[in-house]
Amino acid sequence: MSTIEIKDKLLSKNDQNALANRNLFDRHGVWCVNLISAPGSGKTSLIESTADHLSGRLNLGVLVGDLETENDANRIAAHGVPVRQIITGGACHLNARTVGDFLVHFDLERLDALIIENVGNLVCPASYYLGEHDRVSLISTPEGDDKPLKYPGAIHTSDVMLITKTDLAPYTDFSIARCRENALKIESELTVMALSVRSGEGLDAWLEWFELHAGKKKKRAESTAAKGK
Amino acid sequence: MHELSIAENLLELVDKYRAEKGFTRCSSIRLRIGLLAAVDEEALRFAVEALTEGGPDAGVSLEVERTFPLARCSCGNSFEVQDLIYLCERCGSTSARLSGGDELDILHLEVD
Repeated sequence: MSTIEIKDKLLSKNDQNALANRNLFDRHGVWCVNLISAPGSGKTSLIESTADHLSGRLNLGVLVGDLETENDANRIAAHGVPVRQIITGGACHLNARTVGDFLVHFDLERLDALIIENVGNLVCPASYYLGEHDRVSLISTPEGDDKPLKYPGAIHTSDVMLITKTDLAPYTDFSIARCRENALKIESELTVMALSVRSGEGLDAWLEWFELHAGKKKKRAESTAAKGK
Repeated sequence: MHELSIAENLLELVDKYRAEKGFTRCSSIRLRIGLLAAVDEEALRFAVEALTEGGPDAGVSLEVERTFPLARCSCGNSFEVQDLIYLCERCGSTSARLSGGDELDILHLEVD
């Protein structure tokens, strides 16, 4: 019997695939954002609304993951953006290899931003890096303001936390201030925004953040292309 | 159920090392898993057992070293994070950065 020292990350294969995705995004000047949340926090509605508001300003693409059905892809396609549905057939998260396989279906040269809607789950998607530039987690007001404390992995790996469905807050015990405070205990540099897709409250800040990040990426790619690199 | 795909990744790594080092059987795997990796040890053991059944590594044992969230504050203080609250007891700041506790590492293999 002998011992082999390894000291490798268990998900190193996923990380390598994610890096390949990231390089592909960078080469084409595409900004990629990974949306993660529990089922029903409003990821699809947020994408629909974002697509409508940024129509004619940014070219978006959407990759959506679900255990079953193409319902979300059909909803999003109605807003005129290229969309592909990944049916995971039971897997509770997207992995970088599957995302990479689906990227061939997009004209990346034409896209400014790719939104990945992860499988509704706040646990597993947190462990799988997909190559995204930013990760956004959503917590809706009916879920409770202690959710960041219950799912620290998701919050800790996120760049932005969106508190969604603020129009429903008056009907729940949810406190936006308390939720923000809880999230900042987990990740002190987190950007926190609160919005309602339905009432439009807070949507401007989200769209501004989104456009700024997607636009920066586009500009960088254009200047690299101009240098003939 | 992400333990199943974690187990698949783990056994793929074992196979990679088998091809490189030329061993027949892996009898034990030592892992380091941080609390923040949200891995249920029992579910992982179950998945590894199911996936190795009937193969050369059947009966492989998992030794799991658990780690807890550690933070490093800008004041230089390092501390274990209690209840996931990043409050530095030395300077009172809450801007400490996580410096451990999210590991999902394979440390070594015992092989024949």
